[in-house]
Amino acid sequence: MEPLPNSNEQLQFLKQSKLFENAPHSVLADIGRIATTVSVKADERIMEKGDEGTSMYIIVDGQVRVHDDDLVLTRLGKGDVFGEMAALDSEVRSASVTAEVDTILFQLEQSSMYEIVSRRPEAAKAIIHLLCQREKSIVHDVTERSFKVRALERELEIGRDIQARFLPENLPQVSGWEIAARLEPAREVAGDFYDAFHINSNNRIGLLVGDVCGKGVGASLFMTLFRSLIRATSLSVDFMGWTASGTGLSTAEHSAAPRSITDRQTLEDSVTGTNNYVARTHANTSMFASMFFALLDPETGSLIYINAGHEEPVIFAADGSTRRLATTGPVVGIFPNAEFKIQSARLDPQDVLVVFTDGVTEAADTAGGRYTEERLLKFLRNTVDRTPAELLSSMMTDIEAFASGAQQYDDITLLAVRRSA
Amino acid sequence: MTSTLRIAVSQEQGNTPVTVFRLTGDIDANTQSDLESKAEEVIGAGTQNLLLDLSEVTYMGSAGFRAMHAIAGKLGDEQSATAIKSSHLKLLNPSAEVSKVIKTLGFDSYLDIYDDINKAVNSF
Repeated sequence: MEPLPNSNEQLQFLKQSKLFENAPHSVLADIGRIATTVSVKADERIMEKGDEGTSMYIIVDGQVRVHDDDLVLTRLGKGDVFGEMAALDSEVRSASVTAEVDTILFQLEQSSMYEIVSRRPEAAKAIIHLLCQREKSIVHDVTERSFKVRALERELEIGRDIQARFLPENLPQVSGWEIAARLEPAREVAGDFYDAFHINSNNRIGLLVGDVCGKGVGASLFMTLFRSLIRATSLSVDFMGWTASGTGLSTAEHSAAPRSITDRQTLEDSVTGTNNYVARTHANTSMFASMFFALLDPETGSLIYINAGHEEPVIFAADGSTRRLATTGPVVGIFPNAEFKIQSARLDPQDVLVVFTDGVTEAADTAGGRYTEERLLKFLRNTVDRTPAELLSSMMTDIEAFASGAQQYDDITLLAVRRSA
Repeated sequence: MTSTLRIAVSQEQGNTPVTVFRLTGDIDANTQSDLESKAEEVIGAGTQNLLLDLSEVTYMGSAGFRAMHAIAGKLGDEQSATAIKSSHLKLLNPSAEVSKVIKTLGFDSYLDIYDDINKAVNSF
């Protein structure tokens, strides 16, 4: 670091500084008289955001960062000025400033500055010039940032539209059944997903609700992967033109011996295959999803399912009883060769199955209170006679009323299936 | 809603040295990176065994579990083999609520959980 400047060097330096580059010698001499030379060590805090401050500083030598906690707003070096806003207007400091290396500063006190300004209009001109320069650079920064933000927002909008198309456009229409689903993302894109689709080869309805860990763009990329793998693996028989009857391993082209596949195999292969694929291919991301995947036989109402680390779905039976569908295995995507057991259940006429994600039970109000599973079950019990679409719509209204304006923290997903006849 | 997580680091000596993180607050999408970077820091400085003391953790979201899986991987636990228990990352004293989530997600098959610090430290 250079030695502290003498008064001649001080004048030379002031002349070169951004604040006084256009000021006449008489003003510089006055400023030189009131400036105090200050040395600060590397990492020393020069000012703290929120503090009262009446000094402004000119950097003689060294470097400082202007920051708000960990967020660095800018770095300043030789000839730069900081602290002038609070010094000139008696406001609290709008940001913190810390020396990055050993630094020498000229400190100018508000009272002395005002005294000079009242005597010398040229000093006032120099300060007005500095403030105008500052404003110009702020306008430039803000404009540039808004362009960048707008570009990012456009990208997110595209992502949101594409992701929305990964959810089914129409839910299966099956005589004697009503199916409805809702997904409200917490951010532009979601890590939750649901699906409901015909598996023609077995005449089954696949019902899927999942929740990828975390939220935002990272979770949304994996949402598309998990949802696609489950659908593709469970529809492989349909895609390949195989039929479910008969035995053997040939394709439909050799329909004398079409491949046979049971519901249990379809369910197990899709979840196990998805788990092993993601766990082996993407292990280094540690991304996983909880999911409930069921195959419903619309003829009989029987249901087989795997609950992979997911919130327990609930069946509200017409007789007023409820049944929870507990987990049958861990989350999908991080435990290679994990075992997923298959369980079965049954939906009789007027029974309703509701599958949800933890975004529902953990929805928060402004005081940080949670919606809770108790409230969810109570609400559903009182409204379960409505159609699935009405049920989910009133459920969302109740969650919104509970949150009373608090920012939504996690994606919220609900799937309801009612056997109407 | 802004969550915070405080991490107090200490060293214990059992059969082998064990680093203990005493965690206070929420482990969620906002704080998961704090936990991961603190773990990376101590692993970089030589830590081979890590015990997470969860007694003062009020909430653990899925992002917290993702962080634990990533940390176990960095501690050298094989991730491509059959799902087996981590031998370098263990948990201490989760609340009833956090325990329920650990069990639901199936992490109880992956991470050993202790309620006594001496037993936990000596298990490594």
